[in-house]
Amino acid sequence: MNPADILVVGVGGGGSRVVDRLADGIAHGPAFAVVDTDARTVASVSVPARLQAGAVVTDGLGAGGDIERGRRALEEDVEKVRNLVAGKSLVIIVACLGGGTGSSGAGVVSRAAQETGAVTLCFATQPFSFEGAARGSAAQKAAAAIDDAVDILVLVPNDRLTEATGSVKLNDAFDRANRVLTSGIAAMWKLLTQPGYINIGLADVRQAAGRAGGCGFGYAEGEGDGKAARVVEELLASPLLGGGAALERAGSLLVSIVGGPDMTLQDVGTVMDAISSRAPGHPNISMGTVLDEAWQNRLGILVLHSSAARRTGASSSAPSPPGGKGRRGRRARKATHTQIDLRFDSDAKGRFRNVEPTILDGEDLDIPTFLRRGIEIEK
Amino acid sequence: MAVPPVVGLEIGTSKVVALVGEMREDGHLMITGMGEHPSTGVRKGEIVDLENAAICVRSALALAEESAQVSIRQVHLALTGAHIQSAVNRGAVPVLDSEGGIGRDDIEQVMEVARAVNLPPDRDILHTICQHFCIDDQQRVTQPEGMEGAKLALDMLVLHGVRNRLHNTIRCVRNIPLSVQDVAFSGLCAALAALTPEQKKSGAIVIDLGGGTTDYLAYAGNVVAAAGVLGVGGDHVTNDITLAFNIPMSRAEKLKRESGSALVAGSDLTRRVSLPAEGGFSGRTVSLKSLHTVINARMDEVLSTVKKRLDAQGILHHVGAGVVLTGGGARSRGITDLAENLFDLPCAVGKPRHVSGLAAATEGPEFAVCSGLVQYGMRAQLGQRRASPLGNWLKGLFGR
Repeated sequence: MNPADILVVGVGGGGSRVVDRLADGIAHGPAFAVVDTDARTVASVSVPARLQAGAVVTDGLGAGGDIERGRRALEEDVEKVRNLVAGKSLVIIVACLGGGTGSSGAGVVSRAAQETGAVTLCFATQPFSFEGAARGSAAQKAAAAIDDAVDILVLVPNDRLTEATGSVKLNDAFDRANRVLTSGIAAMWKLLTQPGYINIGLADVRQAAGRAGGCGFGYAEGEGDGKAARVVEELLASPLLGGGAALERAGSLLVSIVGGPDMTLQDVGTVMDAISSRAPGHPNISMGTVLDEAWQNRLGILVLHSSAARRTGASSSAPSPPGGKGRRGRRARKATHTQIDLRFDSDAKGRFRNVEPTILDGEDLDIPTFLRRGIEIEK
Repeated sequence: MAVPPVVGLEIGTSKVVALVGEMREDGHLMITGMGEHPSTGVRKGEIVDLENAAICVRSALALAEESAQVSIRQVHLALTGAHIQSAVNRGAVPVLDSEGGIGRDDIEQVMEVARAVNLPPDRDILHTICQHFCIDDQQRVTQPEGMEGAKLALDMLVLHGVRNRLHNTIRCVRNIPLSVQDVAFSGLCAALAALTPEQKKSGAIVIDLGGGTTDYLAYAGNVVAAAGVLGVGGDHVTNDITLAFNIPMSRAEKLKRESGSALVAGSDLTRRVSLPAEGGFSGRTVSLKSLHTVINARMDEVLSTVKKRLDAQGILHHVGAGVVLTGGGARSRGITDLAENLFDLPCAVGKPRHVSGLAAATEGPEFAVCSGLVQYGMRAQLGQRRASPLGNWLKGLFGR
């Protein structure tokens, strides 16, 4: 894939700031863009391609944490969004969930991109637990909606991201967290655009990571002697991977190793052995390597893991048909995705989220009947 | 002497309707004006957003005023809500003059006693409806006056609801500002509008399939035998569709109305409905079979629940005229067939009867409640019916 075929777009305030940082200093790489409803955010980034959406709906003041308003704002300018994503094969969306614009905008951008035949991947961060339950549950709902709208969803809990830095000072923690996230996203597109000894394509990524419920992500990098062993150890100890526990539960793993011209087969072996030994459940492992000229004496490891535990009782969707690309592939996948298991009440209530429930004989009748009766609905 | 017009106001979950009714010289009730507006701020038949609801009410009333060329200052109000329940209370009194036969005083007294039901402190009576009298051992007496006996008993059907929730809607209307003359239970209004005297005699069940609630009222043995509300309505069907296919609410509503069916037909197996792209919605196709399955599951559950409740009171054996469906939901394709299969009784869509006038208001099953409300109000005005207890409370408040 050509870097020009990829667009990395930040949606909402948080996503825009991450992408702004990502774009900084990248001379040859994917296209970058930023979409937000808050005029100040849009003005403050240095990414040239930027879209202030929903000026009429929000007066340029942002969605104010209101997801409905965010969605309407993006829909107001959906034509401009379409222009932004036109002609891309892969659109990587970065959004920070819990607020108004990112949470709803990610889905709008993804659907616009899929219309033109692009595959969409979304890195969605979830708010810190200290941000409160309301934001947390709003993020959960948004994640479920986005999961349906994108091909691959990578969920990044902010709590785990900052734990990974091991830093105490607030500024430091956020800074390092941002770096882990941006490096991870960069590793993602490098995986797809820069050749290495072992290449993985988009189809492999979708196969490994494109499951209902989203996938998790881990990233670590380092340099110097014995870097392979050290970096993989750091990766496996990372809170992002639950200290390695995520690998134990994983059904599928995607591993990408980025290194310089000095990367050896032994390095790759060390990394993969360590990972395999922490994943005794024989998950499907897709592995690729990326050769980056600038990474002499450096090594980076990206892991995407599909964890069934992310959504309790996740439906047994059949694996996506290999080589499925674009709209046809996506529709084929959805046809085998027979039932949405929305155990989280807020997801399953839709319109009746904030209304007193209708309880009859211990059953909440606001939850769709077909769900409660376990009726499979073919899409 | 001309009888002043009666205005019925129904603040529903999907629409607000105001109907103006006037009594013609020949004794016919005519709908002379109508105002309708989509409803926001109402969920499951109850107001959750006073401001929004008030705006919708004002709009509907303005349209009704213009339509009827009258100025509306007072209304009769339809009330519903899942909290409304019914109970049968029996009252008994010794006959004052057992030789002279049962007199008016006895009847009035037993009515008083039968009305005195013990309700939880947070509940108010909405209606008290006489069922059958009993004289000594003789059951099912309809006209006890003049008959001999030592003890007179009366079964009274009491419809009651949570006071605050009933008053919430009333308060909203009074803040418009409007005067509320009287209130009536939606299910009762639907029955008033849609049933003929013959149907009441044979026994019939009226089910109003509204946007927010499903209200039902059953006649058996020519009296109101049961009534109630289920906090599930057309909104739930739309919501189910939204969640099943992950499409926006407005598209789901449109899909429901244009392509929905309460029954899954064999011919649906492969057909798909195309939803064009619009706004942020990128368009998709939906399996017709899946759509109908989702709707069928919900409607089956709603009707089964009503059936279960009526069955528990042993009413279904006495319903000869079958089931009458009113409300917007009665327009669903296949709903009468579904009901017929479920209840094992004939089923038909009910339309407002006993009124003439504006065709739109008198043709659609979705206007049954408001139309019945106008009839209810007119009868009270003509002295043919007691005002509801809440209505009396309202009068007491204003000293009317």
